[in-house]
Amino acid sequence: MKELVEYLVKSLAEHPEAVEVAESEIEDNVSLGLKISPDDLGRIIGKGGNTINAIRTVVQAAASSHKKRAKLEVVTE
Amino acid sequence: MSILEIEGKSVEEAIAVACEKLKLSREQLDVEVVSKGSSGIFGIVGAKKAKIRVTAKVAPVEAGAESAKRILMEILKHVDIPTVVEAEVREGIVYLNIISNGSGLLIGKRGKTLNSLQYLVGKILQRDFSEGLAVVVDTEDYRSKRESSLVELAQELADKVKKSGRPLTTGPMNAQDRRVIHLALKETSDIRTKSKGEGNLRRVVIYPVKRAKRPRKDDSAAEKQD
Repeated sequence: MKELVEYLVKSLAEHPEAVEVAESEIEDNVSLGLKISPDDLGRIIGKGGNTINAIRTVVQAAASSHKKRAKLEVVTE
Repeated sequence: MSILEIEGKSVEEAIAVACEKLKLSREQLDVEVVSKGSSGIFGIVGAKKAKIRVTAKVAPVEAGAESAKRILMEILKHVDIPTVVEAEVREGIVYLNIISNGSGLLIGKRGKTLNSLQYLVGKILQRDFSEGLAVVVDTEDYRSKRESSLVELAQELADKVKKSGRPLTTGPMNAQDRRVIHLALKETSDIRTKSKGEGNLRRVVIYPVKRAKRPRKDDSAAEKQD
């Protein structure tokens, strides 16, 4: 799942080098934490969350094909 | 077709830059050397840049279709079902068709997954093709099936509105689906359609056209299509 999020976000980001994805898995529940450059926040989240929600939908479909559930959050410090 | 002039330290370097910029291979470009450039004395004095003029041999939309297919395949690599992607260009629109095992996994509830894939492929493609290419992603004929069931729904609702004389509303719909409803009822008499609501909650309202008994302020916009 991590690779998929990385591919999508890096393809969309203005600063792909700043993209970091942390992945943890507890009993088929995959949690993904996404770190991006503050400049990219708007681009990756999108208008009304459109872009991040599309990413979530695709990641969830990919996860369910592996009989898993995925949760994706954007991490800001 | 776009002609591009590019400068570089050498002709080879300029060609490499052109390939990168247009996302095309060397074979897909027509290159005309404007000036060869020279490194000058000691590489400083009198250095002249090489200049080339390139023309793409393939239409940008064809190149776009190839890129779009690559992007979608890259995404689908992470989905654990067998998939094959076909790309086709019709009337300037890139159509990608996913051939899969028919599980519906890639469609999702009301096409949510399919729409997300389409949105992301379009968005990633925008980076390389700034003119904006329309991309449609389909699988198992979902889009055409969806369209015919939407047309059916529109007609059912229109009949009810005509019988009862009261307006009816569809469920929340995206722009594509609303467009299908508007177009389906465009020629139907005694009713008119209008989109209402904001963002993801936008719906189509079907109004009867016959005047109500009590006079009412009625916006005269007969029809709104978006």
